[in-house]
Amino acid sequence: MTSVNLPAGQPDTATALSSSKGAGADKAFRYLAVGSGITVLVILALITYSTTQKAWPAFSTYGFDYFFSTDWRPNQKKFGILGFAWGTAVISLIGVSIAVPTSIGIALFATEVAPRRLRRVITTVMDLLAAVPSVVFGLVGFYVLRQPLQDLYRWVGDAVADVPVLHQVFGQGSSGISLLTAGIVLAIMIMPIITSVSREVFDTVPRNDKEGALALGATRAEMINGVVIPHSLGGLTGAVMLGLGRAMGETIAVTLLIGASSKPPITANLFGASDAMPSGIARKLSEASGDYQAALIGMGVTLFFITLAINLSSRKVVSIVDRRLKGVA
Amino acid sequence: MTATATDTTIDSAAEPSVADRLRVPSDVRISTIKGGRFVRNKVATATMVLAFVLAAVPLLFVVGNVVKEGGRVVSWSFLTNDIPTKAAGDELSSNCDVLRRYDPTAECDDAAPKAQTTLGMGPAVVGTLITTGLSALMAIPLGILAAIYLNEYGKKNRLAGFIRFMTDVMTGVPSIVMGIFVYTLWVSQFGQGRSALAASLALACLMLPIVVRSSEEMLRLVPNALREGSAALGSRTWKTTMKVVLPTALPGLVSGSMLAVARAAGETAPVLFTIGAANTVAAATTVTGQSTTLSFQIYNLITAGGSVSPKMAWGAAFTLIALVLILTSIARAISARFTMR
Repeated sequence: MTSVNLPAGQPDTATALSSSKGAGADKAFRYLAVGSGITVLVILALITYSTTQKAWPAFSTYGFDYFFSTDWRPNQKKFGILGFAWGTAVISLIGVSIAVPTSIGIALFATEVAPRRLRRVITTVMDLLAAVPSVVFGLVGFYVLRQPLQDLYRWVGDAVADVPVLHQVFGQGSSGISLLTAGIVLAIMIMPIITSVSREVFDTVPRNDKEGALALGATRAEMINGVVIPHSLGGLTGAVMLGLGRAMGETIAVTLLIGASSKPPITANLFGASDAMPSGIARKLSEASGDYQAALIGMGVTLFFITLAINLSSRKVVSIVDRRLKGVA
Repeated sequence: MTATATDTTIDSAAEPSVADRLRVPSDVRISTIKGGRFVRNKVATATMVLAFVLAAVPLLFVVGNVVKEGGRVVSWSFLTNDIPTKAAGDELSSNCDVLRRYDPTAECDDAAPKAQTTLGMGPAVVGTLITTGLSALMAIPLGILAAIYLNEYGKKNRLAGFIRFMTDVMTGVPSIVMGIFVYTLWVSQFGQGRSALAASLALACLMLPIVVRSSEEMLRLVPNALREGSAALGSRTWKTTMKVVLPTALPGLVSGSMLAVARAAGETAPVLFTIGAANTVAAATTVTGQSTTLSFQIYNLITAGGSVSPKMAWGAAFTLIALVLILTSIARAISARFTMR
C-alpha cells in the first residue's frame, strides 16, 4: 500500500466517540458531496432546457418540413435538415462498418493471441490514437490526403462508370474530400473506444470456458468463435453503439473532410461532397441569428436526442442479452 | 510448428512400443489439427494482426506527418511570438529567408523587401493553457466531490443511481452541444460575450462526466477494510474520506483527471463559438477577455487558406500533439506505476 495515514493515535480520533467534535464538518462535507452530485444533474438539465428552448422557434415554425425536407436555403428561410441528417447517417455507418470488425479483431488479438509484451504495445498504440485531437486528423486529411484521394476517386469513378449500381455509389468526385473520406477518418477516430470496450468485455469471459474448449481440441479460432464471441455479444453491442454515438457527434475532422456542401443532397455517391449535422452547426452558428440560429441549434438538439436514444437503447440491448446469457448459464 | 500432421499421427504402420505410446509428442496439439481447421485458425490469427496494422498505420501516418511538417516550424520564437495578421502573413510569404527555412526549394524573389514579422503561435499556446487550466479547476474538484458522493455516501440509493445514469448520458452528449449550450446561455442570454472563461465553461461541461466516472472507479478500488479500520478508530466519514480514501486513490484520481484534461486541450468544437479571437500574447493573457486556443487556431488557419497558413497550422498541430501526448503519457505512467503491483 502507498502512504495511508491511518489516523491512529491522533488526539481528535481518540476523543471522537465521547465528543461531538467534527460533527459540523462531517455534515458540511456530506452536503458538499451531495450538492456536487446534484450539480451534475442541474448542468445536464440546463443543457437540455436552454438548447431546446433556443431551438423551439425552428421546431414550431417549420414543424414537419424541418425534419423531413432537404431544402436548406437559409437566406430564403427554408430550413430542412434531412440532408445534414443523411450526411451524418452515411458517414457514421461507413465509420462503424469499418471500425467495428477492425476493433474487435484488435481486441481479440490483444486478449487471446498476443504475448504480454505485444499487448502493452497494442494498448499504447490505441491510447495514442485516442489522444490525437480531432482537428489534427482533419489537418492531415486536408493537407496531405486530399490530392491523392482525389486521384484515387477519379480513377475508381472512371473504372466503375459502366457498372450499374457501383457507378452511383462511386460516382464522380469533384475533390478528395467527400462522404467517404469523412467516414474513413471517423472509423480511425472511433476505433480506440470500441477496442477498449471490447477488450474489457473479452476479459470477462471465464477462463475455464476458454480452456475447456481448447482441452476438447478446438483451435484458437474455434474457441473464439464458440466461447468468447457468444459470451460477449451483449457487451459488443454496447461497444458498437458507443462508437456510433461518438461518430455522430464528431465535429471538426468531419467539418474539414466532408466537403462543405451548402445544401447537402440525399445521394448514394460516396465520392460527393455533403455535410453533417455537427459540421453544419460548426460552420455557421457564429454568424447566424434569428430563425437561422434557431434552425442550427435545433440541429444540435436533434443530434443530442439521437445520440441519447442510441446510448439508452444500447444499455437496454446489453441488459437483455446479458440476462439471456445468464439464464443459459 | 514445422512438423506436418502425418509425422506425429500414432496410427503408423509399425506398432510402437508401450513406452513410445506413453510419450506425448511435444507438438501433439498441432498434430491433431489438420487441413481446413488448421488453415482457418492461421487465417483468423493473420486477420487479427492485420486489424492491428490497420490501426497502427494511420497513427504513424498522422504523427509522422505532423512531426515532419510541424518540426520545421516549431521553435521557441514560434511558441512565444504573436500570430501575424493576414497582411503580415502575406508579407511573410514573399520573404525568401522565411520561406527557405521551411521549404529549401521554394521559389521566390530575393530582391523583395525583407519582412520584419515572424511566424508565431504564442497567443494560442497561452490561451490553451489558460482555458484548459480554468476548465480543470472547475471540473476536477466538482467531479471528484460528485464521485465521493456516489461511492462514499450514495452507494446504491436511488439518487446515486440516477446521477450515475445521467453522468453516462452526459458522456454521450456530442461536444459541439456543450459549445452551443454555453453560447446560447452564457454568451448570448447572460450577455457575457465570448471569452476564455466561456470557452473553459464549455470544456468543463465536457470534462465533468469523464472525471466523475473515472474518479468513482478509482474510489471503488479502495479496499473497504481501510474505511472500516478508520471508522473503528472513531473517524467520521469525512475524515475517513479525506485521510484514508482520497490518499489511497490519489494516483488513480490524478491520472483520470489528466486524461480528461488532455481530451479538453485537444477539443475544438466547444471552443468554436465561445472563445472569440486574439492575435497577441498580451490579449490572450486573460480570463474574461477574448482569447484563442491551438485547436481553434488550426481550424481557422485551414479554413482561411493562404500560403503561410499551412505552415502555422502544422506548427500549431505539432505543439498541440506534443502537449496532449505529454499529458496522456504522464497520466498513463502514473496509473501504470500504481495499479500494476
